[in-house]
Amino acid sequence: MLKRSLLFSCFILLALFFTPGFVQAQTLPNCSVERVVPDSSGNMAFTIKGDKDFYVGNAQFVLHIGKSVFTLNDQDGPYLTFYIPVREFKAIPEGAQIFLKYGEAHSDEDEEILADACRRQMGHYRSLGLFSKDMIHR
Amino acid sequence: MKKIRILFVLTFLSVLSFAQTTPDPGLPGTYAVSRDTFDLGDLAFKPDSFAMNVEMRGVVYYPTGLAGGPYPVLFLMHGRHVTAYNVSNPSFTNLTWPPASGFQSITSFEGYNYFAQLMASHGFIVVSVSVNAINARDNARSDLGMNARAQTLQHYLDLWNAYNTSGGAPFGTRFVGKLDMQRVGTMGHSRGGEGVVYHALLNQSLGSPYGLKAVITLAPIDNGRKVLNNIPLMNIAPYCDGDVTALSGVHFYDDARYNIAADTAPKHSVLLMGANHNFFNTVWTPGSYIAGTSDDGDDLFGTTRDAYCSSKRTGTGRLDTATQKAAFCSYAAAFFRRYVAGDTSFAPILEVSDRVPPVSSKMPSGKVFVSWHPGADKRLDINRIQSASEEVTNTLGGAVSKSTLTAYAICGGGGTMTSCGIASSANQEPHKGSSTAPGMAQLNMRWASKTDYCTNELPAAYKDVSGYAALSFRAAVNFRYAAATTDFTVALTDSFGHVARVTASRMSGALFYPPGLTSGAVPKILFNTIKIPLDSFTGVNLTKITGIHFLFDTLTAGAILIGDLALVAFEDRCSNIAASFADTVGSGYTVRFGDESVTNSGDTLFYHWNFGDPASGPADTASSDHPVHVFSGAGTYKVCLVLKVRRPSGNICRDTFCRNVLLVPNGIREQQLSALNVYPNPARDRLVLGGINNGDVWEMKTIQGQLIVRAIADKPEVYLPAFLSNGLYLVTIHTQAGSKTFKVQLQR
Repeated sequence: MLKRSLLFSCFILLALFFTPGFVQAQTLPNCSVERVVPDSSGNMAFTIKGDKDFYVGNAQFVLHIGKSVFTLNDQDGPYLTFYIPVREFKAIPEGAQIFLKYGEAHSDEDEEILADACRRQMGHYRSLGLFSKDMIHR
Repeated sequence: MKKIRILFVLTFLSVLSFAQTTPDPGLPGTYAVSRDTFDLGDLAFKPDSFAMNVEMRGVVYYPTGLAGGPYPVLFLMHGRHVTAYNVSNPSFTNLTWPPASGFQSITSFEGYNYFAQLMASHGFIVVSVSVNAINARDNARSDLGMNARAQTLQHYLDLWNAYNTSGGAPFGTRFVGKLDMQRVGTMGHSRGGEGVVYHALLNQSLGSPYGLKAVITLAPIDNGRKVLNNIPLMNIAPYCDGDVTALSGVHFYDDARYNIAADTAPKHSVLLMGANHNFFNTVWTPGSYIAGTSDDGDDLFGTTRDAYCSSKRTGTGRLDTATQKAAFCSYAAAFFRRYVAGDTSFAPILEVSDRVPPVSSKMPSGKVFVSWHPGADKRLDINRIQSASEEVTNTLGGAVSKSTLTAYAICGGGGTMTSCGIASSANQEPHKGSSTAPGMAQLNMRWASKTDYCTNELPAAYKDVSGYAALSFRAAVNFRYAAATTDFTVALTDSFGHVARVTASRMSGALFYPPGLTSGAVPKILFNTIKIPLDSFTGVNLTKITGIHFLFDTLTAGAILIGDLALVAFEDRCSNIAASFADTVGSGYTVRFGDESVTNSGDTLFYHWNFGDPASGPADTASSDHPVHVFSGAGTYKVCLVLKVRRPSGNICRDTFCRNVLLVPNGIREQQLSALNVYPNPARDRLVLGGINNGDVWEMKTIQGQLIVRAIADKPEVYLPAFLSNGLYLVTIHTQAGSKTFKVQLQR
């Protein structure tokens, strides 16, 4: 029994040695807005859910809603939560385009550029539809 | 046959003109290396600026036995990555700290062991530290955890300072007195890259308790746009970075250039074409670790989609993991050995003098580009290209004129400065600024005629440029408007109307058309230094230069971006060091050698002789200044003296001098030496070296012993340097039979 167990362990170790290990793609998963709720610190917690875990890398997740740009977030597996000050949240116009980007935050980034990158299926850009106040408590 | 001979001679001359003698920094050193780990716990330290405690854990590589010392020290800090994996299913990774039950921490700090091993073999103590706890929470902080990284790294230095002074667990007293905490270098990868910049600023703000001599940012982010001055800096940018795709680290170089007027610390950057983000760290590299690895280049560009950055595409430009690590090792080792250990022999690599990469880097010339911004005391800025006013008047106050160029504007500096209008994505123009973030201003020029030009005039006070080593600028091909690799002529004119021209492509491969075709990521505008030695401009009087010209006479049309036009001197190069020796043959094949090297007073000298006589066993080497060697018999022996010098500044300089020694009966020897002569004497502008043979060496020194010229005497007639003033000089001819010195009067 011990011999079989040792053989099995050796097999696992050899398999690990000859395979690339468990690889994670460094692109954004397909994702959507999961929920938008006020939190206890006076912010709106804007949560995005991916169809798999968000990659843990060194650039930033950047949420563009219309001309507003947000970076502060919590990352937990397939969830990203951005904390948007209520005053800024209220100023977002209905119908503004929502984009998630992985990279640098630029407040003057053109919406058309973001839309174009999404159309081209660039791995660091995702379009999340149009903003609506109805998202709150969704 | 004659054509072949001419071709051979031309090829030989061309090889000679590009000959490089710089030692290879990436080869393993002479020290055996030992390794240990330390672990004070997952929650051992609480940075002020962070919500939770962090671990104190790492690995140390050091010269086995730690004889002598103290040794220079390097600290390495990894970037952001998953922190733990599920032991029973490693495909489950997460970003929690400490690791939950059933999870194992991911040892990102072990990912640079290959580099730590190399540097320890060169006599460094290298500590690579873990910062997983910060990675677990940094996105929730506006500074992305940079202040916490800085404080934590400083705490690691404090810990090792304690190991150095009083010792402590787990090492006891092993490292007491072994670390030179006044010769410290740091390297940070990715978020760790910005972290080491924050750390250097923190150490400065504390009054520099540790002597931070060099900082490397490896594929870093630059979220906070902090500017580090007064410490030598190197940024390494991987072209096919699929994580920090905007190559934000270029700002560390750009922002520091003119930030502090008296900053004498040089800035360097290395662009590694074909490198990705993760392969620098073996723990992040597929095939090298059990969990959480990725090839970020292929993730972003696809395995075959991009012509350059996709690794499986035919003709790909991507580097394999071994090459990427080798390239990093070579350039990072050159930098740390230069600025932390003080070995200036690597300066030609860092100062863009060497055009061929070190062999150990495994990189061809066209795939690695070094930039260099010398310290303020080693540089005369002709045109900094910082503001629109420098389109017409340069930094020295000289006029800037141009032909009717298709485009001519200083752009890209951010704020209210106009955009250069090249790419919509910041990823493709890493240097540029935006309306809310500063960037690097650059001169955008497009031409459509071979008569087009741009000229910077030098005011009268600056016409004498003879004290500088080279003309330098940074350039990038504007891929939006240039059709292909670009070229142009750089010319100097003097007040006598002479013109000297140098084709830019002769001096640098930096005018390449940037590769790749993935909109939003590549091609990229990346600036690289083009340095043209002033002695390449033949036919002009360097004490009377009136103008510096870009002549667009090579291609009918083109587009180029220019920055940082300057005259540069060498950094603290090993001037005034020249190994040399004389020999006196005695009876029975005994030769008495005498050191005749030229150095500065105050230098500490170390000799290493090799007599080229392996049959003599251990006696084949010696370390005194005047050794005596009994050769094994008659014959020709190649004797080499390696002279190592420690300057009072701590810099280490090295020079090697080899010469054949012919052991023949004394009568023949005397006959050969007596055939040597030098004429005319007095001399005016040339000398004839009579009686020389192929391979002989001639040298000229002042009467005080300062070396002026040393060269192979490949022909009898030699020209004397124009700058020499009248007086008495020593001319020595070194032959296989011995050396003979003549006193020569210069009279012009």
